[in-house]
Amino acid sequence: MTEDGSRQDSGTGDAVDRGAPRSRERRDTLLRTRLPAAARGAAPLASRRAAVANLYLLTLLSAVDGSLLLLAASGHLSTVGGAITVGLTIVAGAGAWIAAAQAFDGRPRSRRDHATLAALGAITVAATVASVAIGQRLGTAMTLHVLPKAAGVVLLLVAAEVAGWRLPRVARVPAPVWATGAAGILEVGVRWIP
Amino acid sequence: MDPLIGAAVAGAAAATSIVAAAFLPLRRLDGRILRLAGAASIAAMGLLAFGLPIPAPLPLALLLGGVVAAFAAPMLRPHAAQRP
Repeated sequence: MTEDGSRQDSGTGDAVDRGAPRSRERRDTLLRTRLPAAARGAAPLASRRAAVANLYLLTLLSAVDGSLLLLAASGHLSTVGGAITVGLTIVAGAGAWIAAAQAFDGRPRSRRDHATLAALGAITVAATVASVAIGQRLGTAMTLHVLPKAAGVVLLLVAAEVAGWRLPRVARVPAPVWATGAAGILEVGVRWIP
Repeated sequence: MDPLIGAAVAGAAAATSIVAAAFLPLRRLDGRILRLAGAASIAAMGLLAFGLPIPAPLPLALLLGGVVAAFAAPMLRPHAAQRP
């Protein structure tokens, strides 16, 4: 790089000019280090964080929207095959796999990525066990009439959302959550019928 | 089997599959087919929860079949796979 070129570059690249005077070789090395990174088109940090947040949301959604609770209350987690099926189709599923690929595929496998995945795994197991514990208590505390059937309705609504249908939301609450709440209210209401 | 143990098995299976998805080249597969297979598997679970007499392995078979189809589709459409 010529002397003129380095003077021009020092006007635009602040990082080159700050601090102690550097030799031309160090300035050139710094520019060569910076330019390929800028040209690589790496995803910005904000979008990667959003992808990881989306992965957490999709994975923990089944524990929040009540579908897992209802399946547990209906006894669908009493066999190994049933538990694995529920884990792969309901807790994880295509949405979570796509989100994981978007959040981590193509990125360096840093310690932070490993820690994020380890935390996600631990939280997934904990949330699943907690949701099933609540469902199990419901199932043993009372004879359920509405909730087992409501599990089917909730899962069909979840399937519609996964397929890309836009279901109506009330107060930003997804339709499956509303269905779970309505089923709970119906279950209580049925007990008042003589 | 105790449902809480079943929950731990379900959570561990889900976590393992998600970690595998993070490390596998899933960007090469057709996301639309995978999403539809996921929806079909969840719908099958819903029908199972209703009490309809459908085979118990059907939801998992639909999901895994969708994964295979999603991997195979780009290979069968080389022009689509080469588009930027």
